[in-house]
Amino acid sequence: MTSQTLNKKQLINTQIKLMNANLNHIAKFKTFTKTENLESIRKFIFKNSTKFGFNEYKAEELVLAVDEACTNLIKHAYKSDSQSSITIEIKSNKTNLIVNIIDNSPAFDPRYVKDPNMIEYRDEYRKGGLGIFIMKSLVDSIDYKTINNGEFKNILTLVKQLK
Amino acid sequence: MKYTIEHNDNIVIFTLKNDTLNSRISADFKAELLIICQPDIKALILDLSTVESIDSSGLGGILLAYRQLHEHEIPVILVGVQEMVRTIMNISQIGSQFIFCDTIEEATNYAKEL
Repeated sequence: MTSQTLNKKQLINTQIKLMNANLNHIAKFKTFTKTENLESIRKFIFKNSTKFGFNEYKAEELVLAVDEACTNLIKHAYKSDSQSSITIEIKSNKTNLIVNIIDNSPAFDPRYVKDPNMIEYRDEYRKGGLGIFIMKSLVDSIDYKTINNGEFKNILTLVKQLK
Repeated sequence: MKYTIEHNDNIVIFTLKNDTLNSRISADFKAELLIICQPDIKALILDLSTVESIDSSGLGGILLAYRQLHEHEIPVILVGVQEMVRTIMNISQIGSQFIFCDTIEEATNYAKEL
């Protein structure tokens, strides 16, 4: 990783920490890791995004970003094991909606997934990486951390600005 | 997945009737496309007029059709692509590979002139 990349990541992390200092908790949703439950997740995000002030288009962008993140967890991290759960927390400040996706699967930091070469992806039978790329493209910043207070958790944070 | 497939002088018109093209239906979507994307067709018209949103697996389906037909220089024509779907295609840098038309009639006329 270059020092420039590191500085950018440090700046984003600092910005997220500053945002976290003054957040309103809006809503929380917990569901089992079943693909059938993605529809409920989408509705939950859309409802709270529009309530926060996003127009339908911006809300749909956030819905898709969260959907890609959760689909990745269900299909790849949990390999469609439907007995585990994902918790989604929505918080806000005046200008940002913050979505925390919390789960117990093995650690995986999507920030370090290399963006796919779309020319190769398009022309060859490449798989994988497109969902994370779309997720990253539809939000303003992403953070990821793990915590272990007796129970291991991944927390993926997606931030979308109201602008 | 709800859809219709119509053949018109070797032009295949696939009309998807769902409002989302996502992981719930993408496996069925890809399976149908693999059947219809044959090297003897003149063009594939994908009518996405009802599709309001798409995810990476849905895009993967459209790319599958593109890859199957591109090597035979057969075009994929997308009809009625809504704003959100267009945005995701542009983000993924694949929009430029397709011909976009507003109606099936316009797409059919385009394909007949090839």
